[in-house]
Amino acid sequence: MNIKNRLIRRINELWAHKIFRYTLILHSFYFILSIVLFFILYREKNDFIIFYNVGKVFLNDIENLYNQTYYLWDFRYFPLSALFFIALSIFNFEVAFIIFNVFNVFLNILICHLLYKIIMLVRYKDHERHDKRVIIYLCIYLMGLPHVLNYIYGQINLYITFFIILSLYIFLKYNNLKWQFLGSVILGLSIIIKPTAFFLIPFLIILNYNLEKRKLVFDLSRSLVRILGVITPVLFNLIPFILYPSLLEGFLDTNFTGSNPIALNFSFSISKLITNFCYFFNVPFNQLIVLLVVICIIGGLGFIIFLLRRFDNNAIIYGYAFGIIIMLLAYFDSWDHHLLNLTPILIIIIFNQPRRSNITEPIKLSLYFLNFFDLAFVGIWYLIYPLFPYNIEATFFLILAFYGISKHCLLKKSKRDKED
Amino acid sequence: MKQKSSFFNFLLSFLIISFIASNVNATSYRFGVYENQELVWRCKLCNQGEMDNIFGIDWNEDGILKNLSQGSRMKWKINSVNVNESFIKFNFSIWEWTRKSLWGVKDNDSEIMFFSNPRDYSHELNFTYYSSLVPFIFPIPVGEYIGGLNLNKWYDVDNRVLPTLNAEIGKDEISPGVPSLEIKIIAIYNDQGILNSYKLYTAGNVVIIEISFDFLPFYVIPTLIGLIFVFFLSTTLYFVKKRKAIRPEKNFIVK
Repeated sequence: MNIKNRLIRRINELWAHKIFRYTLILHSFYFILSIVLFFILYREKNDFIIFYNVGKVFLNDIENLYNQTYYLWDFRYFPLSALFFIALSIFNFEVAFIIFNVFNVFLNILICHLLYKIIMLVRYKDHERHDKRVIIYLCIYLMGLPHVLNYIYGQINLYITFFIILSLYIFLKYNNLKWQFLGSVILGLSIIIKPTAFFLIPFLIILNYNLEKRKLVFDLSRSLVRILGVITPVLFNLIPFILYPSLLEGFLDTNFTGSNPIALNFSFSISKLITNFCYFFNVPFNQLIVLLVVICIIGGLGFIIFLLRRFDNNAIIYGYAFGIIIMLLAYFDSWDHHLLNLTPILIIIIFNQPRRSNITEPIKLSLYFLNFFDLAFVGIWYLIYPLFPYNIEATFFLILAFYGISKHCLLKKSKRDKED
Repeated sequence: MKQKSSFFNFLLSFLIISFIASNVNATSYRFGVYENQELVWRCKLCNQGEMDNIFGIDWNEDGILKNLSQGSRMKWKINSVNVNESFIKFNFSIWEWTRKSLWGVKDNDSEIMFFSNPRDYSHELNFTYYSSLVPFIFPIPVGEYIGGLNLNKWYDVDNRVLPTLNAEIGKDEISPGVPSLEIKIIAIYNDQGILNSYKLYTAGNVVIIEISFDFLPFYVIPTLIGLIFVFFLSTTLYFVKKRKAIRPEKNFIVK
């Protein structure tokens, strides 16, 4: 059967599911709404303006890549990320936005396809053999409200999600070093575009101290290949940094020490909650120290728990979840649309757990909240910020997911067998 | 066939909407205040000693910060608002910073004027004619207006969430000896373009002046109470549900 026939047959199969039809309608609505809102309200005020401009600045005036007068809002990613947007800058702005968002929809289809493949690969043995439940969860992902903001703002989170999921698929599917290297390079590419996956790097190291057997496992060659693979694309950024030293200064200032990290906003990261508290109550603080302390506590805790995990099979899924949650909890700016990087991983974890596992409960709760309700709390933040400038709800559910994953990592073998 | 024509109808409507929307006129700016409106700001914090050190002892003898001290208030009453193609301006009476509870007679009349188009300023702007170094009011939509200004290197506009004008001014950058230390200002405006929160920082993010608009929108407290109520209700329901789920197992063990 050729690809076209297979595709038609698959679409017909999916079409038979009511939830799939609703999802398609809802997701199309998100897409059309984003285009209409862009033309009516957000043409001069969205994130895409930055991506569109950065390609031009990179080509014409690279030394001023971090000169924020060129942008509506600060450009803060690695210099080579601009390369991804050069192609868009040849179109006029409106056409570029539409092309960009059409590509976002296409990426969502690819993400769902990869998610399906990963779930089928790692699904726990006691799950239903048919794929109805998998389709439901893929629909839940596609119905997620963070997509609305992602489309309206012309954001690049789906690129990151795609690279993250693709690298995860490669790690899970292919075991040889060549593929492991390729998976890491793909993850490195995602870090170039946006450093969301930066804290995934330590979780690529295959290191495990088995508490029950009191045995340390360390796969040096595989770990080295993975770290080398992920760091190589990121290191290419040293070239523009070395050629134009002002770029490094601009990059560090925009990300860590400038006035941006102080500003009051509804980011749900712990660092931002702390700086919002300090801003509100006039507590003197150093934003870099706040960031480092939160990274050390949350990141350190996550890494130690991952190191002491009591299982080996598919451990990388949990490493990915830890890495993304740590980034969302630690870095200053964590917005609703960034959750699109996490929700697919939570869905994979739900399927990797036994069907009636207690551990999935906090993860499911987090998934539903982050996917459907968090956006409402962003709106509520605007209503209450004069008295309570903290968007703590998403923080709570991220910590809940962190707790669920930690619980799974530290679950004793006897209890794990009982769950089976 | 029917499906095909529906698709084309849909596509056509979408293109028409997009075309109409893309021809919406450029933003027109105005003030978010109206005649006879009273605006009151309160100074929550004022470190006189540090201000004397940074700006000299006469920093509060004149200008918009005249007589500023911790606990004092300043009132403006809008007299008239005028908007034309080139300018937008308003006249107002001012009651300077005072700690008295009764306002008494106004201290002065003044006028604030902006170009109707922020891009009409031909030179790099700074706001050194305000001793606060940022205006107390901007035309609306405020985010777009301040985003469109050609500000000098001290200023950085952050419109992502709340319209915010940040300023970082190095030692001696205003005039020799002023400021004597690097300072930082974070000015947040409300959707009416009125300065909602003003904080002047010195080294180590230490606040030495805090001024806030003395007005709390009516919805803030009810929303906050509602949120706390929902939080407690959902937590209680969660634990009740959890207890119910555990109970049958316990009963089984007892039996």
